[in-house]
Amino acid sequence: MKFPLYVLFILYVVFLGIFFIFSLFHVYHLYRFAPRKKRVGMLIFVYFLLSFFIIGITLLFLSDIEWTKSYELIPPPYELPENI
Amino acid sequence: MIDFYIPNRKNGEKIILLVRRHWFILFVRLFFWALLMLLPPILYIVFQGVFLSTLEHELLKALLVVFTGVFYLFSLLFMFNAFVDYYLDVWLVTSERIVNIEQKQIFSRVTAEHKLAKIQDITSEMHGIIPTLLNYGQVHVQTAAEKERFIFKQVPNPQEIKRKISGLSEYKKRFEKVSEEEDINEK
Repeated sequence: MKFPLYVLFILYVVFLGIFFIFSLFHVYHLYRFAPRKKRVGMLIFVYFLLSFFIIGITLLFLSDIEWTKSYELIPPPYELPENI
Repeated sequence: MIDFYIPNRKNGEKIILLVRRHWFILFVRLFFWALLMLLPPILYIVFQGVFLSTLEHELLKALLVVFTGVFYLFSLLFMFNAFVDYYLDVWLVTSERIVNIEQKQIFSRVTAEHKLAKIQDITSEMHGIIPTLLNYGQVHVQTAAEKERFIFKQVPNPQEIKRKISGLSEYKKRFEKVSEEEDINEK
């Protein structure tokens, strides 16, 4: 059974999607229910700045990986040499 | 003037007191996630040899990078969630009522209110070493007997809050009594 490496990238993209959905809903709640203060705006800015920094570094490391490769998850059965 | 979103705001209703949880509650949550974020570099230092050999294998390297990236991203998200939770969980004392707005989860927001004139009993509580040292605790507000108590959770200076609500409630009761008497006299 082969495991294609790109599955991991898809998984990362799914997690990224969940992260952005939750982040945007938090920002929406802050803008809808809290008074619009400069401090909160700054905090949201710093939050997204840090997020993009983490994503950037992760993508930098992921760019080294060859996603077209597949790996055998179950090792092939061991066969005893015939001359034994 | 204190500004905050109040559901069904009445004409001339003013916010007198806006209370959030004590800053220490937010600090503990943020500190926990910050501490957790230090875990990968610590693990790297301790198991340096294992990590370096892992990075040579492409599948393990991809797994490690994806896991670490997701871990940091979600730690940051939980920190932001702690702040939003702290910032949007408020207890408002207005000129008419006390309102509790709680952001329970991302899609769950609970709002409860009690009229100041209906308040029967107010108690403040402080339990434990840290709450006593930092002066934070609970304020319980009792209205009609069948209703559950209205609780200001982990709020700073609970005795002062109790004193203020008590004063406002007394004033409101007296005001309503005078209004009722005037109405009867007019009739």
